[in-house]
Amino acid sequence: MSLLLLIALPLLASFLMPFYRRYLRPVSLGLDLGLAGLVYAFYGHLPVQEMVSFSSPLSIVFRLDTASYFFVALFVGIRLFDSLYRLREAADPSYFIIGNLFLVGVLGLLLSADIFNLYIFFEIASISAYIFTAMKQDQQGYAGAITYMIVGSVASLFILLSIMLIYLHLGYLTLSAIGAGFHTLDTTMQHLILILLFVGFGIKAEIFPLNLWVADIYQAAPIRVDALFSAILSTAYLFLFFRLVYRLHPDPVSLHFLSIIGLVSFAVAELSALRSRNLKRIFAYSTLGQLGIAFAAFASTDPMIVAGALFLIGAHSLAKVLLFLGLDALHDAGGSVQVGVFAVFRSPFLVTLFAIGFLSILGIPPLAGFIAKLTILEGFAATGHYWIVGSILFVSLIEATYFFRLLSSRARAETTGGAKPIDIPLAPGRMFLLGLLASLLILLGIFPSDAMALCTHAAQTFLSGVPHV
Amino acid sequence: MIGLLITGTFLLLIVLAYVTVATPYLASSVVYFMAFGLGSTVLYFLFSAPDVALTEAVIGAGVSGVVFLVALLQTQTREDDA
Amino acid sequence: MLETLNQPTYLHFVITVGAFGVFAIGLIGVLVKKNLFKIFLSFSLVESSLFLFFIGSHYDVGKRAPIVADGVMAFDHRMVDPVPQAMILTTIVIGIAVLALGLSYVVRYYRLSGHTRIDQMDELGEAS
Repeated sequence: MSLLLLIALPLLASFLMPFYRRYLRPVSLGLDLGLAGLVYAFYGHLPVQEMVSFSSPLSIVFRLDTASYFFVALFVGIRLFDSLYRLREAADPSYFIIGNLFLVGVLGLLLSADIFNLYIFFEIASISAYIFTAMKQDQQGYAGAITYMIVGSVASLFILLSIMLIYLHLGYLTLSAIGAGFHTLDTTMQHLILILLFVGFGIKAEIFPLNLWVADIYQAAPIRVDALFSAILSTAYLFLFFRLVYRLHPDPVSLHFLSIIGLVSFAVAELSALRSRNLKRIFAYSTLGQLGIAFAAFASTDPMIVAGALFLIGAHSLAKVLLFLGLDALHDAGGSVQVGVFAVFRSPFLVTLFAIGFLSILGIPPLAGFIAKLTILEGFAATGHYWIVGSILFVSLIEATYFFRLLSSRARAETTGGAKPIDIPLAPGRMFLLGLLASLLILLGIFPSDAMALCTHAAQTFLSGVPHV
Repeated sequence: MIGLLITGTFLLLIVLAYVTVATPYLASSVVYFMAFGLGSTVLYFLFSAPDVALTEAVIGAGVSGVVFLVALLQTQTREDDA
Repeated sequence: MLETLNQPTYLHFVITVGAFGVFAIGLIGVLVKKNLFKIFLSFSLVESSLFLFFIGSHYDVGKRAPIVADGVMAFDHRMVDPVPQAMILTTIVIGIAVLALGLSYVVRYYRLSGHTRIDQMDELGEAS
């Protein structure tokens, strides 16, 4: 078993695609099953560390610890789900190739333990995300892809500059060596590097002052791709940013600043969602809001709160995949993603799914999101940050307003029977898969202990060596 | 001597960067950009980085300029009227 | 006179100031220019300035290229650090890939919309 397989298998599958073009669907499913099996096989052996070549300070090192394992398992699981969901569709070679590159980029980001490899995988993930955005091949798609490229290039320039400064002043590229030597730099240089990293990763992790472009990208991309962006890409960058920041031992003031930024991010996103009439944009803003809470929670350096944040990210990813795939079915039948379409479709099954997704994100018992928010709030209360608890609860009210407005617009339409309802045809296999996802959200809400134990363990690994603030 | 060369090349590069951004004609802007690539090739040679210099000569002064010109020919825009 | 220009302090000052001059010009181009071609050109300038800065900062007068050939049998301290050069090679290639992808999207966008200006790009937003 080698960690390299997680990177090499999808890459090989992409490059060899012309040879098995006719068997693309079985190969694609086989690849995802294989990756899932591989991830499962690593479960008992954490942490795994692998040196690919050369001797120590310049070697290429892959490392999988419990914290990154949490994300690897989540992403490979979502990918397998996506692959099962499109099982009955005609295979799309370009989606297969770009999807594999995307997965390689994200897994590489999680696995690589040296900062220049991080940059390379960062670029791979970014390029595949640009191509994903333009996948509809219409004017909106290209406009979105160009916007995304301009913003993404700024982010990669900032990250490149910070990597250059780190190498220039320390002479190391491996993360552990950088972490050990970072405090020997003078304070100005430390702050400069931290600010550059914050801008670079903040753009990619969609944090408040740097996330004004995100809703446009979600609007431009196909809905299936939005599910991947929301569930995989932004969460990966969020995790990565904090892993880097924790390595560099930031001072309490910076961390405090970061948690305030997370809360502001949450509030601004939910306010924007309140104003929006486009379901894609609303879901995008809701993603930004949830990431804002997770950001604030990560910055707290308290194991319990960080465990809650990991649980929140997991629950949010599952709920967003559910919501976006439901929206995809809605869009296929109704042809629109405006709020109006939500009121007039006829499918009790989909309504239930949407309700479960919304309520989980909102944090209503007995759904997974409730446990996550409860843990985070309890943690903040236990450490005496009552104002954070208050502001999260207050902004959740705004969140509740637009979710219930959406749901009640349905109820009104059903009683008055105004517009002509649209039927949503949904294949039984897809109904089963979506139902499975929804019941997973409920199950995680009722029996959270196993998942919570994994999150707690991951949080402890994540925070090991970080001074408690 | 080498210090003078480096200083001079940097001054040239700044001028070239400025005209690349400032000129209203897109085609001449691309040509200035290719000249910029050539100038940085010289700098990489002075910095004892011949491998980077070769790559920059091919990619910076050659391929990227050609990519820009081909893209310009595909569109009918000639001038940047901003 | 010429010898003072070879001093490491002076040289690194020139490299830093020169690279950040190009960086600033490029960044202003990215922010101010409205034509997509100009924006991508400016990005390339900014990228090049970072490469020049990084390679230049590892150079001192008298250091040779890190190549083991022509009677030189091993690496020593009179050679420049080869790692930044390897990094920059990789980054240059990534840069041209992103640039080509971006320009191809600009061309396709032009075919559908008839313009290449970022301030007229209003397909996305609440209204549409």
